[in-house]
Amino acid sequence: MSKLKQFQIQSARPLPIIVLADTSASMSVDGKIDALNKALKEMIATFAAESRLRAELQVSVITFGGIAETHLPLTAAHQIEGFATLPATGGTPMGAAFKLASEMIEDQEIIPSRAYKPVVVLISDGHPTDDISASFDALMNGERSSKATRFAMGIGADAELSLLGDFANDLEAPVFEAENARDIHRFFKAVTMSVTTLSRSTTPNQSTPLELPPVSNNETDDEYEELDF
Amino acid sequence: MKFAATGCSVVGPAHQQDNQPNQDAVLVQGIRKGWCIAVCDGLGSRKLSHKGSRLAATLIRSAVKRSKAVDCNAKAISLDLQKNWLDAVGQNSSPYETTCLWASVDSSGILKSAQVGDGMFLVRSEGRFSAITPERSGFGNQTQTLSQAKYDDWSFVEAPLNQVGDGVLLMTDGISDDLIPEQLEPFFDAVYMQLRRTNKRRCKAWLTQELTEWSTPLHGDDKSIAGIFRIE
Repeated sequence: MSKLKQFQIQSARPLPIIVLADTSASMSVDGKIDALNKALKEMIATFAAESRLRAELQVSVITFGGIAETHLPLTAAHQIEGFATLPATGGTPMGAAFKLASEMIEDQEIIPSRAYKPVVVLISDGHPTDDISASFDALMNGERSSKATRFAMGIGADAELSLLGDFANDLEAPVFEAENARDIHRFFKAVTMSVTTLSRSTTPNQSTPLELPPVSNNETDDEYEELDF
Repeated sequence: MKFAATGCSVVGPAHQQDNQPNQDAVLVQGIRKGWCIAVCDGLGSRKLSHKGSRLAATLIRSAVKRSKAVDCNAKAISLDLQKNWLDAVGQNSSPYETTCLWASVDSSGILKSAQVGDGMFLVRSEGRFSAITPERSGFGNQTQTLSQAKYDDWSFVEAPLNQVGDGVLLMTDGISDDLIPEQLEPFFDAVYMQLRRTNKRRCKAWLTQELTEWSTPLHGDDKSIAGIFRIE
């Protein structure tokens, strides 16, 4: 019988995935919020079903539409039941969302030091309607948050691509520009694939390239509207 | 005054699954009526890190032997090790990156120990227990390495082991990241008690079994541990 088991932590090392989702009123047109909801649910379901892991995938969703709030606290993917659909309303308080993300990452009670470095995903279709300078700087340069992997997707022609470009830090994954609902789906598929590849690997802190799946006409993709943004 | 030492290393499930070599290296060596131990963790992302970790473990033995002649302190021994390791791997050290924790205890019971990079070293000196390793500011598996470390990146200890039960225990992060922080001293004591009531060979077999049967869910890392304890 093991004598050392009693000193060992009985939970897997977490790999946090934090999604910063624009849920402002402009996301309600052209099926953008519907596509985002569907893609998020698929991502969580895929993470929950993944069995070949070296880490526990944990997901948090921070929304910014009217107000910024933690829609889903950091939770193991396999424990997430009935992800509540995101509504689209109000302005784009992106700065407040950065603040929430920064506070979450810096808090060792929420993300312990044994966790693998977080993956932060920013999705937006417009310009921030609040002051982002201090919270953006805190997220980019925080002691812990600066070490996170950051991906970004701009939706439609009004997305502030320069800001999203400054946010993203993966050299092999520049800002992805979604032109239609199907692109949102492709982006989240790529994020899902990147994270699951990381979590199965012997080195879960190494970045893996964000490889977008090709545009296809398979059954799943047909569920997304063809409308361009 | 009698000291005993033990240590072992096991390949983690992730490397077993991918048919990769153990990237850790462990050293337990008697030197002039004293002991020298080391655990080195080659970075999983580097192709030749298993060679880098073995080289570090080999070179620390040489550095400690040399230090006996000139009575060097832990800082001088560590810098000697780093210089010789860099000389040995050549200009492109990147494929060989490794962490390094080492300790020596001489016949008079003086402990010299140092750490660079992830992992943990625990010390009991004059009956007082302490975890020397500074708290990690980032996340798991983001580490300083032997080749990149500046002087301030090292942690050093020199202390007398003058009571029975005093000692030093080194481990790679495959172990230390999965230990309950409040249970470090009981963990230290469990290894000490096992070594005290058995011998080096049997204690190594016991440790090997314990590390092979590690219970933290989804653990994947290689695991290495080495310790020196005053047993009489």
